[in-house]
Amino acid sequence: MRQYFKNVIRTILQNKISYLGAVFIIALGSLVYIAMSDFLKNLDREGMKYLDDSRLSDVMASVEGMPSSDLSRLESIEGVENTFGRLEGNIRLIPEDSDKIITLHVLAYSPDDTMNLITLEPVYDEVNSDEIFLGKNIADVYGIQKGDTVNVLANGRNYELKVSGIGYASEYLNPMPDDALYSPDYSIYDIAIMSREGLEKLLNRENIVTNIGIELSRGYSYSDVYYGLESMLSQYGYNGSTPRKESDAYLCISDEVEAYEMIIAVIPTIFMAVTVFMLYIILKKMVDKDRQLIGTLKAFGTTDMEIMKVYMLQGVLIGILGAILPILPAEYFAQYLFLDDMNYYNVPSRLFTIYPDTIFKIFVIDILTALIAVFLGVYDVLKINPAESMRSNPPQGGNVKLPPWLEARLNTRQKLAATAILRNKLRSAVIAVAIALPFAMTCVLPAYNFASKKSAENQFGKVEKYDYKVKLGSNITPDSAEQIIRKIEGISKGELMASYQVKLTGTYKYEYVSLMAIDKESELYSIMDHYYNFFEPRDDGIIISHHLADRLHIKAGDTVEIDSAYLCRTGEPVKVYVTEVIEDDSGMGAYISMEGLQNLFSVSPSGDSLLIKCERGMDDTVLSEFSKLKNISYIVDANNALDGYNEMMGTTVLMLDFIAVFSVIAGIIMIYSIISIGVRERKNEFGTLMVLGMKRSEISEIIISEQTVNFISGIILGIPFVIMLKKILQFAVDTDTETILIPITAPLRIFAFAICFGATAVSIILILKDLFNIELTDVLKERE
Amino acid sequence: MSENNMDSKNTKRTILRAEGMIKDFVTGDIVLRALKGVNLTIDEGEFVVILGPSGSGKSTMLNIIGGIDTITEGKLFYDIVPVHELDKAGLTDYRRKYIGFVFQFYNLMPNLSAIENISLAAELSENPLNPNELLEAVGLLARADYYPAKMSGGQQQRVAIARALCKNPDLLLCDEPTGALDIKTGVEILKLLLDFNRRYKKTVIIVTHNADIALVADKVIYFRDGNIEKIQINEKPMNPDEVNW
Repeated sequence: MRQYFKNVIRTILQNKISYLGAVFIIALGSLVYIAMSDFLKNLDREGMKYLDDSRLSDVMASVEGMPSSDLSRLESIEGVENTFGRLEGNIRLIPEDSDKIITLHVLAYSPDDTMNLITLEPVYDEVNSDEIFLGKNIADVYGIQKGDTVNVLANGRNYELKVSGIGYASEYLNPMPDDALYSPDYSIYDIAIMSREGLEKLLNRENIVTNIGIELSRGYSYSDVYYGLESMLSQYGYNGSTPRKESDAYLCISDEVEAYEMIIAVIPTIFMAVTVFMLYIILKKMVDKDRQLIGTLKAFGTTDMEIMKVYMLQGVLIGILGAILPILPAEYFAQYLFLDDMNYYNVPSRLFTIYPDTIFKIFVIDILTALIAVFLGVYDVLKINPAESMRSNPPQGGNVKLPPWLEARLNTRQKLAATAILRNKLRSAVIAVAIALPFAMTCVLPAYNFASKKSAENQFGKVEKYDYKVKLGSNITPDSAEQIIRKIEGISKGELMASYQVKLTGTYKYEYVSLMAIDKESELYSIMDHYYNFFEPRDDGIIISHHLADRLHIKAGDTVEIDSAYLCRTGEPVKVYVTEVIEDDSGMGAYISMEGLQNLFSVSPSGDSLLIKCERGMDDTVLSEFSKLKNISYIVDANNALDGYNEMMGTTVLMLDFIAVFSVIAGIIMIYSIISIGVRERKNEFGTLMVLGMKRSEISEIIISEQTVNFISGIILGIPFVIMLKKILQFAVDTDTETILIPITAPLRIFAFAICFGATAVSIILILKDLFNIELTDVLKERE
Repeated sequence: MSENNMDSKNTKRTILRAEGMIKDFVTGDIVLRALKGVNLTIDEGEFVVILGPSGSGKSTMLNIIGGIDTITEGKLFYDIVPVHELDKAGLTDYRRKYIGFVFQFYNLMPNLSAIENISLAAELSENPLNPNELLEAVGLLARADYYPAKMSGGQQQRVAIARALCKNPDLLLCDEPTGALDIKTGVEILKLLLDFNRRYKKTVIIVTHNADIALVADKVIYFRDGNIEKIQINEKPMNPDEVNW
């Protein structure tokens, strides 16, 4: 079969663009798979390893203050093996030449710490009380280096501290104030580390712990100790507790891994499916073309398997190339994503590893994909009868007559095009699918990114419409808030709002969430779902996010129990109605009106945050005035929040942009390949027409007429493809806490249409150019 | 070789004139000279057979006359049209106006029925013949709606001839038109071509390696090694039925 193999190789060379296209598309799928798999494996391994190495406790609890001597009492709770306590507190960093309010959440370090270990760079055994280690990001933002001195304000007193390096704490991979926006803003908030003695002095809280780490006994879980902890810690101002697997540190890694796992499965599958389709068509056409030759070989006694083996070898080769080519760029990209994430999450370890099993898997997937595609394509070899193969294939479609009204309107060339389409419905359908698939991919894959960005823009443009959110040190009444707002020049609108950490218990489950109390007539904060419906906070119940409702297994009209040290003055949980469940994008929000606080909890309206809208050009003045107030924890700048969100989404955006760009390229390749195959198989037909004296313009008219119909069919077929692909992607990116609707907007449709139109037009131009360069004498030597 | 055997009494108008035609095929560094300075004239209404062994250059000659290939050196005139000077568009126009082709392997449009194949050619011509009449003339009116794949080789070739004739060309070029057919069918095909030649006074040139076909021609041009070996005029061409095939 060597000679036949040679023949096949030559046929491949004739179709090299299509083959290269198939290799390219399979390589794209492999690239996404390798890059995302190794990125996530490294993120998971290094992230979790860091949490393990730093002995992140099984349960983390927070109290207002507890004598460290009382800590051991917790070990009397059944299931608590060991306990650990740490003093933590907020101080204000006073930057040079700036009125900005910067909060440092300082953790007390001791070499004797047994859990939730702190990493210092450089490594220190003993830290002096006048030394501080800053979080890496805030040090970067303000250009503070080791050896510098910083001024801080704690308990109304100024201190000068020496910066001795960078500090990392495993509980704070993603440090944010309690009710801050969605991502860290390191220009206003980060962690810092001091010696226990130093922090006790600053906060004037000797031998007090605020954060407790608990190691559970073997065989016990968080639910076993939950009530014991609650009852024992309530006297110390219990703020709640979290099991390790629900801690922010753990979730920020595991959520990211979970969010991308489906994408790893879905995106490469789409690319592989496109490859299968392309290879199937290429091989099917090749077998059709070689039908007589295959029949002759069979007549000589060649077996089906011998013939098919030659084609299957191509599949193996395509699979191998598709797996080898993307390895280096994929690993480079994976490493880039990994380092970016490690930096973002403040994980000190940065060891990137290439996983051979990922590469092995992609080799197996690619080779199998290509083999399946090739097998489907050359399956017809089995059906070829040597005697029948000597005659031309009968045309499909039978005796097609154009409707008289249509026939009367078409010229000869257009009639030729129309009959060619009607009699070769399969060929036309294949081209239509080749256009529909890229149309759907180009519509949907970039849509997630747009939707994600739109969601953030909506959050900061339609939901949180303030310029600044001033977090107060303690609650104030609406009257006090009004006085502050009136006193400060440059505020065009100011509102008081409150957020309370509450335990919300549903049918079977509970969640610790932030209950937000909003003025019913608020202009600066709105409750909005992702269909742009707005909801007014209620006096008679709470509105909750569907993410929270799903977790608690509740629906609108159900009752939930709210437990909060601040709100439940009797010490008993309060039952409230869930008035509405809203379909919002992200988070686990719960909302109530200020009046609702009074109605349901008998608590006078008060708030812990001021929402501020400034008059034009008055931002600096307003901020300066606020910085002079004592009861301020930090100020969130909404403009920075959007930047912070974009930074947080950086990895995702980059990856999805990358996928979107490649899906467009894959689409263009596919359109060109399939159309050119369709025209190339009719080279003799067009050659004969040229010999008969048909002009280039007339041949072009036939081909353009045909492809125009195919293109329109493809776009129409693309519409259900878009819906299908959108649903698949929607399912893939939906997580417990985030649902981003992927709207296929008109601009996206126009973009996808333009890409497919451009690809089709360029393909036709290239194909016509190629067609007009054929040697007519060669064409006539070939038998149809 | 010049046309030294031409009948001096022939007063017909010359329709085709080749002067020193050279055709080189270049493959890498190798240059193969297929035509080596051919001089030739063909008159209007002649039935010409070009005869020669494989590789003698006869098909190349036919392709150049038909405007689907170009010459390297020399001149070729169709009536007053300098074919050697025509660009691609000019050659297309030339083929469209003057030339009809019949190929050894028919080259019918696989997706068009017999009548549609013929009508296609009619639509390319300014003065076409009636497709149905031609189909009837080739004896295939009953199979007007048959696709090429459903017809025998002889039937396909008859459709191909009808297609070529339908354009009402001044010059009909046939490359081994009976090469793929049995004797009986081949004779029928020859009759059709002769009938066209006689009835419409159109020039027909047939390229073949079958010496028997030469007996029915007005003029036989013998090709060997890229040039004309001799030209023979048949004073009394035979009827195809008279030839002992």
